[in-house]
Amino acid sequence: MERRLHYCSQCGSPVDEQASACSTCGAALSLPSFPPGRGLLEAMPATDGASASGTAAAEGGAAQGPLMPPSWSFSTSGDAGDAVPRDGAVPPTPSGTPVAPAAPAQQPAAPVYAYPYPYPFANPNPNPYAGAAAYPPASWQPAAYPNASPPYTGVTSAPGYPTYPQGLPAFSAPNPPPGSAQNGNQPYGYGAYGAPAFSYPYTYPYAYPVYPVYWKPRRAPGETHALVVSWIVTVFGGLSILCGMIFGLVIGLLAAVPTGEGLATLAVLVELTVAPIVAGGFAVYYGIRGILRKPSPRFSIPSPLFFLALTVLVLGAGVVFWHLTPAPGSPGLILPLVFLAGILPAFTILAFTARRLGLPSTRRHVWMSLLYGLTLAPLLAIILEVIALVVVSRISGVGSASLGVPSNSASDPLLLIVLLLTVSLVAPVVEEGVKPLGAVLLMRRLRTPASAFLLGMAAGVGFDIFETIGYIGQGQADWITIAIERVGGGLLHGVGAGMATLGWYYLINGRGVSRRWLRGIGCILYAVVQHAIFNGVFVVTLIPGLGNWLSQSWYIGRLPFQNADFLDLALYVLILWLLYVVTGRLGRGARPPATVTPLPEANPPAETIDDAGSAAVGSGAR
Amino acid sequence: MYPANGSYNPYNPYNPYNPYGPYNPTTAYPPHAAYNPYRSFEQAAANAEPAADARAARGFWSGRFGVIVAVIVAVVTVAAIAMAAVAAPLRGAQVGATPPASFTRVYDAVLSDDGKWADTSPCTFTSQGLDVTGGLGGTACTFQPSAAADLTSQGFWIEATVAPAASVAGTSVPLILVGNNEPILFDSQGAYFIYCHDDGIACAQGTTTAWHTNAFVANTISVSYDAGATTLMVYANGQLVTSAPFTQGGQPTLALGAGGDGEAIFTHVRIYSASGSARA
Repeated sequence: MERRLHYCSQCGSPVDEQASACSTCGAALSLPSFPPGRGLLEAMPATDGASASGTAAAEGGAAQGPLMPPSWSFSTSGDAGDAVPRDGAVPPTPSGTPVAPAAPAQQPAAPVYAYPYPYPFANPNPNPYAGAAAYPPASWQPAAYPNASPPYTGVTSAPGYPTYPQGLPAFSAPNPPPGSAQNGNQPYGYGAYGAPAFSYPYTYPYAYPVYPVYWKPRRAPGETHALVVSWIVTVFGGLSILCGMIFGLVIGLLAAVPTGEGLATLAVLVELTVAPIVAGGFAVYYGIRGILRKPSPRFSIPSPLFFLALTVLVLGAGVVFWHLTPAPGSPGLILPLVFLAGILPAFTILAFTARRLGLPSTRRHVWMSLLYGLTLAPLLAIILEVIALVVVSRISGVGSASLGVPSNSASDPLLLIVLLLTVSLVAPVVEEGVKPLGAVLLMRRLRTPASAFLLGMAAGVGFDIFETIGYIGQGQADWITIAIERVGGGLLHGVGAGMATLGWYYLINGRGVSRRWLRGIGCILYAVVQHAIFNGVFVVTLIPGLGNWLSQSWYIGRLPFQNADFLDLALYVLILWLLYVVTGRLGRGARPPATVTPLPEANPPAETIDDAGSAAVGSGAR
Repeated sequence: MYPANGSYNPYNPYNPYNPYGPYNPTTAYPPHAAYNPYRSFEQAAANAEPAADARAARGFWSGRFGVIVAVIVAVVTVAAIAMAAVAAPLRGAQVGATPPASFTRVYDAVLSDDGKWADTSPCTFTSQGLDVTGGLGGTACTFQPSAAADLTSQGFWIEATVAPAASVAGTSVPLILVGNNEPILFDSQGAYFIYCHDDGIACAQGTTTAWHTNAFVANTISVSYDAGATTLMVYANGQLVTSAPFTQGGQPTLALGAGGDGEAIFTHVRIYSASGSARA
């Protein structure tokens, strides 16, 4: 059974041969995914097949002889299927000993000089021997060219091609190392393939002249952008560390003033100190690695069940301790548990999402997005929300202090409207606008909607961690009730930010996607509306009758909760269902079709295990 | 070096050998990227986002990095639980949650209209207990025996149980007034204020993690004074909150009340005094 793979030219996801649109990004497939007459499989030449074969042989894989026959073609059911980049992935670079590509089966019939490839190094000196005998006379001696440069001696396995004064100055620079075409110098490197030394019986006069012009290699598309982002990340990382240290100093000064030992204050202050320092440290590290263009391994994370189990453990411990003691004790000792009660549920959701999407991003991107959501995004959101609150208060004439007391709004319609406007419009717009910004900065580097969603989710999870820890601290001795009520906060912020980032992906990267603008704006609007509904639920509690029922309590042991928590729970379930659907669709589109035979484990795709045991995606270059 | 199968003729000048293979745009560049002849596969691959990989997402730990992360997180979690477990007992050693043995019990009852407490407005008795509505600066209902006899000069210990905040229509701001005029207030978020003087400036304030902010959970406030000391010790739910200077004044009393615009319902009160003759 041979099935040919087609890939979406928009997002790189595999698509069916007869499909008219990509199931992942929706891009129209009316145009062929590959150059006409050259599907991916056809486009993979026999030379690549030789490489794959050589690689497999070098790794002890299927022995198919030193070279594939010219008629060999990639098949999804073949053992060498890894040579086909799956999911539109970056093509694997053969590990092990490189093997020379195979030559065409037939020589060109006409003796016309022409490159068969779109090769940039056009020969500036037309072949003067066109139409002449294929082989030079044996009596020809290189001594006829007294100004010739010495042959290339850097590689002993093969003699270099001497250059001859055919109207061009002699090339005196040292030959580039084998395989250094990316340096932009000599495109032809020889002797790197380990084959037996080849010796010419006589000097060959038809050598290409070494091109004597140096040029600065251009950066690949997007590399400049990546470099700029890396510098930004590095600089902001340094500033973040500085801010954290300043906050730490403020905390030290405040410690001299007896202000009690409230958990809320302590949690926020520690958050403001630790988060910028930790995030800044990561930012500097990843920023410098980005400047050096070091590849980042694929983001990996343990199973969501692991985080779920720890979440249950932490919350269960909190409930038990609440029942055992009337007061929790020193806040410094319970603070780690409070932090974990905010972090672990969020990571459960992040792990769930990342696993369902197939881990489609790098460690650098995901962690930086999460740390942006943990530090810079809340800072921006606070600033913008305060400004908006002042504006709303000025316009409405309602004091901002009154907005902090929802119970006052029941008897004042104007206050209720302003309050609703603030929490259900201003806050969602600001927060859903701010959270995806980190991912938007990287948007041109993202290849698939799945990776965009994952980065947005990471930023939202970071934002949720910051916000939830602050809320939990406000519970003081009853912090555990807040922690349980906020257990789905990661869903609210994570899915919201993920959808908003997905919307930005369609708007920025979605060229060719059908209804691109509708998808983009729709995703962003969904994020805002979801947040607005969640924040606006409290209005229901103000409705007489229903509000009374919602204000009733229910208990876990003696630990009380409100019926209104069921509303939050219902919203969490709805958002979780949506997350399941969205990740299922994005993840399904990013994986190979189910009918494709799984690739053998013995010949993994281009992933290498580094010293830390993590997989480096791509070429394996570290 | 050329392929070793002999299919390629190295002497043919019209078929130059290209060791890098033909350009394949479908595998070399991300979407929308223009063809750049100077870009190598390696460079492109090293800096690109990885594609989704179901196999990478397989397994409980997701590789060695996942195992390392999991171990660290698990260890931190266990340590955090252990710290929280010892937090309360460690703090409990400092707690003066019970009255000194030398003190005499003066009052210990569920609050009702038993004549021991002032019952004029704003002090009213409900089925739950003594309901006090705050006014400007706070109001308090005096424990009548404390006005008739000296219960405080030799030392006293008072503990009042405050009904859950959901029991009152407004904001719950319970208050205990001791001495001449020294109120101790708690708000619903665990913030406390102690006014030692009549200048309206709190001599001690802050927030405490010991306060139950859940509207369905009751709180207890304890205030202890020993004649050998010069300070009040204030506890919330059995945990020490703060200490403050104490001034007896000319007519020291004990009273329960509500601060500011708040309200409070007291359900149970225990009072102990070092003045043995002051049994109520």
